[in-house]
Amino acid sequence: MLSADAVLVLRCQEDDYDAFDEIVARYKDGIYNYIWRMISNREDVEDLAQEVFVRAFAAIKSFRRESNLHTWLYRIATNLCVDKYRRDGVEKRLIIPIERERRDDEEATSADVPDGTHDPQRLCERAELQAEVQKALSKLPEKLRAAVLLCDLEGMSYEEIAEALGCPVGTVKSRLFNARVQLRDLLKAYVEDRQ
Amino acid sequence: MDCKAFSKHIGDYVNRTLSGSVADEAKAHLSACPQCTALVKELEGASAMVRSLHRVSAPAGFEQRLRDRLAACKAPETADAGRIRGWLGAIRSAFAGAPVHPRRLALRPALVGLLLCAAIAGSMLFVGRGRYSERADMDWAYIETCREQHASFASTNPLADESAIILRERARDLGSDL
Repeated sequence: MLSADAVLVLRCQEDDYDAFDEIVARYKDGIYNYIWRMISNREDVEDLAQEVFVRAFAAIKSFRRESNLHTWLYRIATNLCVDKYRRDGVEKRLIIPIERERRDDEEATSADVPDGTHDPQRLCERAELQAEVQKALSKLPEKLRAAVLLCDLEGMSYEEIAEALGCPVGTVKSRLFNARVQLRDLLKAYVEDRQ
Repeated sequence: MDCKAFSKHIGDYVNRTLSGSVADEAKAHLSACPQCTALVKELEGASAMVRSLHRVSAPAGFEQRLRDRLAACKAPETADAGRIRGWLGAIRSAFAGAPVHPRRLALRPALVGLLLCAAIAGSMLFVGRGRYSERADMDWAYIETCREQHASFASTNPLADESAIILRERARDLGSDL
């Protein structure tokens, strides 16, 4: 019994372009969200997210049916983000004005996640927390960041993360542990301030 | 389970992927170890903060812009390239088009081997025949020369009849009368 993704891949391999549209509709938000959290430069997010699907479209004919489309797309996205990260250099990626982060996150929060409460102080605190977490994430090495995002944000299992990152499950576990330890250290001051 | 043993499973514990007796032992250790409990809480806190990040959706028009980009990415194909691609596609579909019964699928390598053997045997026959034909032509030229020499020699020497008999037998072997 073929999975829904495998059927879509099969249809794409038979030049059914509607099937590729379905793949895009199914994964565009997840990929966009993942890239949004992976890279610091917001202007590049859409470009990279589109590039993921352009590359998938170009290579879908050679896609092996036993592979997992979901993890394959995230693997392409990870590789693109890491390339982008390295191309941009250390200086650019670390200079993220906190106000800008806060503004981006407030915009995205108000646009995408209706909070239910309109308490300005609570909204402000939430936006601040989001900005702090994003800032801490941006300071992690990209391999650790990818592992923790795929696990905690995208909800992937160890095996799926291993496929998406192209490494053994043991490495995934170790990256996750190290990522969480580093995040704890980076967010320690903020958490203590709030308490 | 002591702290050292627990440290091997702490990632799985935080990730809620421990099960069975190991999970029970880990819980028992945590109930008695404040240091490990504190570490687990901190790691769970870090994980929860990442999970609390809101999800960002692709902006409106994303799919249309992607379609435009895919259309622009498609390289214009020349007529020849298209024809060759069509041929390759036809050959591929002839070999792998419709679903094939597993037994027929298993016989496919044997069929390919058979075709290969037939092709080799055919080429060997063709080459061998060429060589044979060339050799027969040389034989005929030789016999013709001998016959002419014999004719001129026999006209002056009646004892040459034996040579004439040998030549006639050789000609008969090659399927022709002198």
